[in-house]
Amino acid sequence: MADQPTYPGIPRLAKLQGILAAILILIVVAMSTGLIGMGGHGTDETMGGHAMPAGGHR
Amino acid sequence: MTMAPALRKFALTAHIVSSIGWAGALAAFLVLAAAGLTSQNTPTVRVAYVASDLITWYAIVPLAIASLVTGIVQALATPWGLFQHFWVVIKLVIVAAATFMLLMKTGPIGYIADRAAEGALSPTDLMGLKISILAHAVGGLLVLLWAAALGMYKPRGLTRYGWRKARQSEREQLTG
Repeated sequence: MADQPTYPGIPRLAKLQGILAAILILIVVAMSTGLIGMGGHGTDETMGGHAMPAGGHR
Repeated sequence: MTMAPALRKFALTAHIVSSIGWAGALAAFLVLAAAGLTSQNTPTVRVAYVASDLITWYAIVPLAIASLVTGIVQALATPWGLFQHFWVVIKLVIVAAATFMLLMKTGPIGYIADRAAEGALSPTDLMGLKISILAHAVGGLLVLLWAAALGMYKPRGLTRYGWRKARQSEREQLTG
């Protein structure tokens, strides 16, 4: 009886790109929660010293 | 889910046009953001941010959403599938992240455009925000180039789910 074929695994290039994509997601999440940089809910400080009206301009 | 060949070609055309249009509009935005950050000419700075807000709302956002939606339709309606190949999954994740980031940035872009339109923006005002807008445009363009390369080269590599589907399809062909 032939051996059951097994999953060949994740290619190295896919692993590398997966890591890069994960870093991108982390940056997006950190920015959206205000942990780093400037998210959609900027503060006086992150807006360069000028408060943005609540809810943006629209 | 399968599509008639004519409809599939239309969907592919819509996906390519919206994706390339997104990258092109973002490149134009990048030029304006760079001019807004570096120019010492007050009218140039103000016009740059007013124009960048218009480009954001009437070109970049619609094209980004169209690219994401047509990409998902394209994946679901072809044998590639949405979760069967690593390149498709990675492309979906990075394009979705770029779209989310773009939507988050519309507030700050609109804010600086409003300041510019009111005549209350000088070349030295809001430097942190100006740098942030330029940096996000550069980052966004890099992500779009990455996505374009994935779509063009389609690097090999099945997900575990895709591998199971492929095996199942092989078995069906042998028995059927």
